[in-house]
Amino acid sequence: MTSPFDLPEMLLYIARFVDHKDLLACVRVCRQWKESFTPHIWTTVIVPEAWESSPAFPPLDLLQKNARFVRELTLQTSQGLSSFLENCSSLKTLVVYGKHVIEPQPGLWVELTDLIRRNPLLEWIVLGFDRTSGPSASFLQALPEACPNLKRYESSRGKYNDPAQVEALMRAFSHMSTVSTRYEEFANSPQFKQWTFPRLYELTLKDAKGVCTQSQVDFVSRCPNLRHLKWSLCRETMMPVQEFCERVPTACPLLCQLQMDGCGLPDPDDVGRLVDSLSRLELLSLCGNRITNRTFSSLGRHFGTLQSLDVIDCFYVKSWMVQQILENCPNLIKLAMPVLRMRDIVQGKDWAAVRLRHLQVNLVQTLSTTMKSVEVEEQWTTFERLSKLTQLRHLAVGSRSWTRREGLIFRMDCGVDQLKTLTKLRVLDLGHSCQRMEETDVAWITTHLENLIKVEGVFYPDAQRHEELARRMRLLGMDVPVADVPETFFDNPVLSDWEDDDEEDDEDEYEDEYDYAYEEYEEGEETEVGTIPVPQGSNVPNAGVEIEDAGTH
Amino acid sequence: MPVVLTSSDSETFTVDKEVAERSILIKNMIEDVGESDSPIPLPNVSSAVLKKVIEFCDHHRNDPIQVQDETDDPRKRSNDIEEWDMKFMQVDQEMLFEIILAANYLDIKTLLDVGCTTVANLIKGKTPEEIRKLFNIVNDFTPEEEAQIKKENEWAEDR
Repeated sequence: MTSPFDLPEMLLYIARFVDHKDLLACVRVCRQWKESFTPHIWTTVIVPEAWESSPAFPPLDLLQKNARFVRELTLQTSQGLSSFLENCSSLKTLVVYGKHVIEPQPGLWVELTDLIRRNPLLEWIVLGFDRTSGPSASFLQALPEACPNLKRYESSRGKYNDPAQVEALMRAFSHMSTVSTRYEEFANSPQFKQWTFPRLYELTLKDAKGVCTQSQVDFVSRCPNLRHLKWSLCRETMMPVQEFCERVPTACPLLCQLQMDGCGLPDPDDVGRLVDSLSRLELLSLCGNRITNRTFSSLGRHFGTLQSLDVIDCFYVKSWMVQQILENCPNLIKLAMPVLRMRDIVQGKDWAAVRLRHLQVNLVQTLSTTMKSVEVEEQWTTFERLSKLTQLRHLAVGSRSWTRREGLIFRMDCGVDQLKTLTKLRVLDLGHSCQRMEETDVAWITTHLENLIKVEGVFYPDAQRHEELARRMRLLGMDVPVADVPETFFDNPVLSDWEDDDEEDDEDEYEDEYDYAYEEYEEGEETEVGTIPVPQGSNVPNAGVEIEDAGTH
Repeated sequence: MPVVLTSSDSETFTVDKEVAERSILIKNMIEDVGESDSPIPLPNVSSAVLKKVIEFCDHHRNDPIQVQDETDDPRKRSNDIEEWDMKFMQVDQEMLFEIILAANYLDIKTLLDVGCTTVANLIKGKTPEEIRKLFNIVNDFTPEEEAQIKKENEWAEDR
């Protein structure tokens, strides 16, 4: 029998699909397999600060021997590793953070500069500081020549005191296609007007300290090929909306993805102005802003191109808006909005958003408990609409507060079995909705949603009963996080703005609530200080996960 | 415009051009030769395997063509293999291997990846001895070498 295993290049290719834990078995099969599978074991290495005493970390001689296979390297320390680092020459991703860069020993940045010089294939660098230090000027100066393939640069909490550092950083940025700078502090504001960033298509600019809003608009305006902007300002700074609208869309004609989480926007209609200024909108993600009726009508112009909309933590989002989005956005992949009344689903048209992969919205039933037939109709129709979303991977339908208010009820007699078309569903999150599942309902879910790997929620108001159902799912290999079943669900849910009549303009009376909630969000922002940087984005180098997860596969 | 393919055992298959061109090899051949009625010989693929390959290409005829990307690591993508593909791959080991080799020869990346994922799933959770048995592989390590590898892997074993 001819076997692909006889061809070394096929074996190498197959190895790319094998999990880390299985690779360890593969290298022990035979000589040929050892040769082909070994490089893949060493693709990703994460050096913990206490690597010398960590039993789960390979011995130095072994590390050194296999250094040439390492593609993704994370250094939480570099101490005692010279012999290993000197043999690394195939790095594509380098992540550096931890005490050793926060309180650098003399020579650290020289060593790291030597490291990048030995790794011309580097594509992605991630650095993390604590606002007391930053990368050395000579490290930054070396980047463009040493690593011509470097496309992506991410840094957080760096401090830049030296004008030469800033100069070198700007020069490095001018070669990148993706830049992320978060919570960084500049003693001398960079003179963006002297630079252009022609390759930059994705820019994350979060809380840049020491850079005035005017200069930040300058920065964005110097990126003629920008497509995706994630921008937020330090607190108490207001977004220069008018200046943005006047300059940015002209300077960045391709800009179509906008993420402004927790930005201070002076006027309630500012989101609408921003949306109006763009010729095309594919992604909009906001947090703590208001979605007024005017803003929503501005969004309407982009229904045809909208792929992702996340306004779950915005105010004044009405149920009818959610229904309209679902009816009119055929290209939507992700939608996260606060609340959709099932009554609006029943009264509305079919959904056009059949390509949705991620849907998060609290589905609520009409409050009345006497009109039984209405409730059943709402449940059935909602399940029927959901059943058309055959591309769904992630479905979250519960409320985020404990309320006795009925949501979508995952029971056979409510029509849950219509969801059998959702064969790609991986995560089902019932949130804090009050479910009353029977064993047959759980059995239906576990049998028919064949790709489901995680279920979250409270399956029954009684804690013991809930745990019994959760255990059944876990036995079938499903990830069911432990849920706190509350002693009591709130009987009288506080009426929220989505409860009110659709067209009524009721913004003023909510002014207090808005201010309160906004404050709270800002507070939350602070807790991020001190967290370790994790590379962001879809291609996260997660070998760390590979190594750390190896035991649980 | 249909395309005629001939398998190693001289059976001919007539398929739509867009189906045949899921194979980069065939696509390039058609481009090189130009429009022609003469059959394209595929001396490395038997009719049984070619039939399966055509079935796959026909099912995926409207998928966007994947660009070969050396840097992408399949482990980073969600490894969810489509239900249809999974059923399609429910074949005996000999056919699975033949399909992988044909996909490699014909340069059909999606089929190659589905095949390799299937092999990876067969390997999942198995011991070296179980893998050898499964694929009929001879253990050519000396006992010393075996002990050495086991020792080298110790740091990773207890994680």
